[in-house]
Amino acid sequence: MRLREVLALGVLSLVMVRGAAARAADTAKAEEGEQVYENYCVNCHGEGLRNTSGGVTFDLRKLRADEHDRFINSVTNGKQQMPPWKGVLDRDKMEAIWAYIRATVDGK
Amino acid sequence: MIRSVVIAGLLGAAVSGAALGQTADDLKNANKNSSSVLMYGMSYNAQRFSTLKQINRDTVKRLVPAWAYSLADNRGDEAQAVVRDGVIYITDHTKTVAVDAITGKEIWKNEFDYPPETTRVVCCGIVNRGATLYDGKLYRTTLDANIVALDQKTGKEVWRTKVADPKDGYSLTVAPMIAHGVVIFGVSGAEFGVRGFLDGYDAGTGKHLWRTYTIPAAGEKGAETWQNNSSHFGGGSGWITGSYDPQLDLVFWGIGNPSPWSPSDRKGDNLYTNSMLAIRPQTGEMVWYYQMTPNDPFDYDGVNELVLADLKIDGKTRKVAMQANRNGFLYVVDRTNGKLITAHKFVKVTWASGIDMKTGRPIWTDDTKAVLERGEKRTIFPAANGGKNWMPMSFSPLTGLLYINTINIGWDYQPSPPGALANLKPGDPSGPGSLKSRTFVYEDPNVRGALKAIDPVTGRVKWQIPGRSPNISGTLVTGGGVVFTGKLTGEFIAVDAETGKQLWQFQTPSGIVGQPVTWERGGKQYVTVTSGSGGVYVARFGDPNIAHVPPGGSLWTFKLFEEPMQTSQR
Repeated sequence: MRLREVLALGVLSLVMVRGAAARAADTAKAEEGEQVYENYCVNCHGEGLRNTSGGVTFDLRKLRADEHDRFINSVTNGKQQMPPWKGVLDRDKMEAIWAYIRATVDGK
Repeated sequence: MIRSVVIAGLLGAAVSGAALGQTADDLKNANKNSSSVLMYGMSYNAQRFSTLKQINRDTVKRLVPAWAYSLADNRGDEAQAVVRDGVIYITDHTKTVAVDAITGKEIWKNEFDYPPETTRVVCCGIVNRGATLYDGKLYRTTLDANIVALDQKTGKEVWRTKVADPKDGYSLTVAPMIAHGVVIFGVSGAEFGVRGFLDGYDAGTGKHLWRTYTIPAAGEKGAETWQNNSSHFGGGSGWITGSYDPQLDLVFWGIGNPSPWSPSDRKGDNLYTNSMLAIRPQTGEMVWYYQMTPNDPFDYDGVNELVLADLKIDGKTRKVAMQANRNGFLYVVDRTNGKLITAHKFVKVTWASGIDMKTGRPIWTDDTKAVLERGEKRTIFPAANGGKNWMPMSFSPLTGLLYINTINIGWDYQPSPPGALANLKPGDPSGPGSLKSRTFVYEDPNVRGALKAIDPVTGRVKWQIPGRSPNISGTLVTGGGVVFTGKLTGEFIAVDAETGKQLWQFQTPSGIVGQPVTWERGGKQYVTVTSGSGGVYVARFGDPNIAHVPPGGSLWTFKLFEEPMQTSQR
């Protein structure tokens, strides 16, 4: 095995290990987010994100992956009939909810 | 001529004075006056029974809308209408409206707002459940925990008193009751660690008269039923209007679940959660209590309305209070002393095999023991929503039956381990998120509920109408032998009270989560109900059967079809 190949293999396995670790971290974040969602969001946005409010509350499954900033802004400052969550949910908790939404939407 | 004008004027003043001045006697006799609906439950006994019979099992097929009025609201319209002198009063979470009962035209509208933060502590629907009328005023609660009196004629605010602070987890959706000139109600907030209470206010001035905490403080009687003083944020809300027996001078009120839902750190009976209380309206003094679900791990609450009747049981007439409890048992209790008479299952129940008739305590199944004693995961029926939720039942003294909209949902349940909630503070979410597992399960996803006619003494189901979704609407039963209720998919239906045969239906524009009432004016009978989807079931449960029900509140009044009047030829 030439050095380049050895190096390439090493990098590849490093990437794989990092990938697995990142996925585990994402899963943990999503699980944390599910708990936060259950405490603060579910009664208006629906069990498992299944929204049957007829449009009264936003169907979070419609959030695209590139709408992260919009999501954080709406949660922080409130939107339409949703209260502002600034001062109640810190940024970390909001990111956890985002991870839960992404895991639920993209995982399907 | 002048003299007769003056006399007419005086007469007019006298008439309008009498019309506005509903007295304590009017409230006591509410069930005998079919032209008015003065209070939640339609009368002090909360039977939701009317003697009216112009609309009956034969004529109901001719029922047509008289008018509809837009409530311009997209939240759940759960309020019961009240009616007096040809005016209907209805509430939602941001307004109170007076509408001409015959024409449907708006007379006045009182709009108000609350801080946006308020809804952070509203667990179960941005709603209001209605008003009560007394002494020329209308009384209602607000989501941000105020009690308000409005002038019935103008809608102008007469007084407003702050009850509690939403920052501490409190909110109000309940319709108040008035007895002895005292405005009485309980609070919401047991999902946010409140210390629950019932409150009494002077109807004339709004002055606070008494407060009866439903959770004992350390050192008080009952505190020993809470592990390590865990009672200090113990829940015990009272968000459904009670009933009143003027003869006994007792108000009966259902008290809600303990906080947090997860029971691991609050061992003991947890008084006075999941209990019915009998209190004195003038002082709030507790005369008796009966606890249905000690140490409730399942959010079975205990707030359900207490329907009063005098029933013949074993040859004797008994003064009873009846409650179809969230825990799936239909309780019949002697309302003079709180002693249990019967308790039958009215839905699928797996948490208790029965109720010990000597002690009144539930007999836990192995599943409940596994949950409470070992913290294990189990499938339990009913789920937190209960065998019946807030939607009030009705009782017909003619058929002797209760008409109950029931729910058929269970859950895979596991409490949190001991100590997991040690940092919980009053005002923090302490509801479903406090559990380790809480996944709803459906025995049959096509039968999530049923309208049932049940004999309260034997527990026998005389008939039932299963539904793909439960009905989250009150029921009304009449002397005409008709039961009215509404579906989440918007149909307002009339059913034969004896047979359960559906006699009539009308598709309203949204889902019905309202409470039908009936009244008469000018010799004609009318039926009034709100349409307007919302509330916790609609928002939370992800029920696919209601995915295409639009929101939007409206108030509907129905009457029998009449031949159009002959109009002159043009």
